[in-house]
Amino acid sequence: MSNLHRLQWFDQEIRMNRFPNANALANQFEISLRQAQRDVEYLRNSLNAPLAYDAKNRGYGYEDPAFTLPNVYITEEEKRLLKYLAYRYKEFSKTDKMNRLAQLFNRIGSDEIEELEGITVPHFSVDFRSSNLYYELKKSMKMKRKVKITFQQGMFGILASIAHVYYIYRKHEVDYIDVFLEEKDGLDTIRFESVIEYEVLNETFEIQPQLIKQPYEMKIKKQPFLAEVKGNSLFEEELDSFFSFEKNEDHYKIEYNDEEELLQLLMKSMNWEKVLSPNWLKNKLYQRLQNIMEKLNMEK
Amino acid sequence: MSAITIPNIHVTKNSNSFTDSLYAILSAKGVYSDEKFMLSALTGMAFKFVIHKRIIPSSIDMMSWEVDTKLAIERIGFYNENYCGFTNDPTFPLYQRAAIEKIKRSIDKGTAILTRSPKTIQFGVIYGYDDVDGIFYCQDRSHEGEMIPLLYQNFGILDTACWYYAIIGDHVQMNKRNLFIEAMILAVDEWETLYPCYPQTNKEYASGRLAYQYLIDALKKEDFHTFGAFHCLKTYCKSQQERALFFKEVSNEFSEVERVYEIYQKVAELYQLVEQELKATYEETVFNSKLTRNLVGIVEEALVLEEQAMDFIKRCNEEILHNRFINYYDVNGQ
Repeated sequence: MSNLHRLQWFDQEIRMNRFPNANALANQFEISLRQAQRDVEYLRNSLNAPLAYDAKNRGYGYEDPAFTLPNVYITEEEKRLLKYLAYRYKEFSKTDKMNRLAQLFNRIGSDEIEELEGITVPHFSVDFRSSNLYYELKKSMKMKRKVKITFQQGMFGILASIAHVYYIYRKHEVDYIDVFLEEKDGLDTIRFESVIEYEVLNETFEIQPQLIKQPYEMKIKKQPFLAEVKGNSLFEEELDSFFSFEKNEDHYKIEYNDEEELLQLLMKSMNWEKVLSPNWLKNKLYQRLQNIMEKLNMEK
Repeated sequence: MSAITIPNIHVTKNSNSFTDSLYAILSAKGVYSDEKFMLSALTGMAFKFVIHKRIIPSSIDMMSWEVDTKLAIERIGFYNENYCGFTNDPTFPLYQRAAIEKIKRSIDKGTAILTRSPKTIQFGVIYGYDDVDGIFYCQDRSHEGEMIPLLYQNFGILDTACWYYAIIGDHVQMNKRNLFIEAMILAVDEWETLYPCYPQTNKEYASGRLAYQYLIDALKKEDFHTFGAFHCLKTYCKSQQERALFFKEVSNEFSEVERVYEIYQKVAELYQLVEQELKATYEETVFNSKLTRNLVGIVEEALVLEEQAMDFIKRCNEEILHNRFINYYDVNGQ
C-alpha cells in the first residue's frame, strides 16, 4: 500500500474544499497521470469513498462528508510518534533485531504496515510532545533552518536563544540536542524535557565545519561467537530472523554476538536436537535448566 | 573437561567494582580473610570521590587505571603486574597475544585476573579458560554468578577502546598500623586532588572537595545524567558507610582518630538519607526539582562534615603530610 500517503493528501485536499483531481495528484507526487487515476479509482472502488466530480471546480468532493478513511491510515501526529519510535529502537540497541524494528517503524511512519506478531521487544513510554519535538527539530536540522528556542537551565532560570540544531541523540535514557546558540556564540547541549517553547524559523543557517563531529570507529572489530547446532528445517526459520548462519544438511553454524539471544532461542525452540559446540554454551544452558528445576523442586 | 577454572570465585556487588573484583580474587586465592570494607579503605578505593560535570556513570571508575590500581594493590602488600593500553594502537595485537598467554599462566597457578568486564565499563575478573572453545571465563558484579564468555581474539576489544589487566602475585605481611596511616594519608590526597584525569588540564571530572562542588552545581543546574546521578550516589553511599566502618577500626588503634569516626558516622547517616531519597531502583526514582533540592541540602551538609573530618586527619598526620607534601596541602587548615 505505497499510495497511502497520496490518498491521505487527496482526502485532506477534499476536506479543505480545494477540489483536487488526478492531475493535481500527479503533479504533487510526481507520478504519471495514469497512476494518479488508479489512486482515485482505488479510493472510490476499494475504500468506498463517496467521491463526486464537481464540474464547476474541476475536481472531486465528498457527497457524504461523514466519510472517513479507514483506520489503517495514521494521523500526522501518529506518524511522528512512529518516526520517534524508530529512532528510539535504533538508539536502544545496535543488534540486527532492533535495527529491523527501527526500519519497520520508519516504514510505517511513512507508508507501509507489516505484522509485528511474535517479536518480543522492549517497550518505551513515549509522549506526543517528545515525538513532535523530535520531528520538528530533525526537520530543522535537515533543512538547516534556525529554531527559536526557550529552555529551562535548572535553577539558573529560563534562557531563550536562536539555535542551530546540529545533533539529536539519546544517551543513557535521555534525549539531547547539540545546538549552536547565537546568543551564547557557542555550542550547548539541551535535554528534550527542558525545552519550554520552540519555533522553527524560515531563516537558514550555515553549517560550521568545526562543529561537525567525526564519527568514532574502532579499527578492530569484535569477532562473533560460533555455535554448531543440529536441528530441523523449522529451526532454520527460527534462526532466519535474527542470526547469520551456514547450513550443512541438518547442521547449523550460527554466528552470534550476544549469547543471551541464542540461549533464549534454544530455551523456547522445540526444533533443535543437539548443541554440538561450544561446551560453555551447553553448560550455560544446562545451568539455567537446572536452576529452573530447582525452583520447581524437581530432581534430575 | 577442557576448561580450567578457579573455584570459589564469587564477584558480588557490595562495594565499588574494583574492590568487589579484587576481593573475589584474593579470597578465592585464600590470602585475604578480612572484611570487604577494609580492603576498600586500605586500597584507597573507599576514599575515591570523583564526579563528572554532568554526573555521568563513568565518574565512579574514573581514575588512572594503570597507576592507581597498581598502587592500590601494592599498598596492601601484593606483587602485581599491570598492563593497559589502547585497542587502536598498532601494537595492540602483540599485547593481546602476550596477554592471552600471561592470563592463562596465572590461572594455571591458581590466581584469577583483574580486568575490565567484557559487558560493562567496570572492573571484572577472568577466572578460567577453555582452549577448545577459545574463551576466557569472566565474571562481573553486574552479572552476579553468571559466567561471561570472552573469545580470546576479543580480549581487550571494548567500547571504551582501552584494555587493562592485572596479574596478582605473592604478598608480604604488612603492619596494620602502617596500613591505617597510609590509608588516612590517601584519604587526604583524594580529598585535595582537584582533577583525577590525565592530563590534569582535563577538568571534566573533579575529585574530593571539588567533586562536591561539581555535584552540587550539576544538581542545582538540573543538568545532569539521571542514571549517572543514581548510580554514583548509590555507590558513594556505600563508600561513606565503608569509611565510617574503617575509621571505627582505626580509632581502636589510634584513639585520637575517634573524632573522625564520629564525623564519618554522621556523614554515613546523611548518605543514608540520600539512599532513601533515591528509592531502591533507578526506574522508581523520579528526578524532579523537589528531589534535587533535597539532595543538594544533604550533600551540602555532608561537604561541611567531610571538610571537618579531613582537617582532623591532617592534624593527626601532620608530620608525615608535611614531610611528603611540603607547602602543597593546607595541612594546618590555615
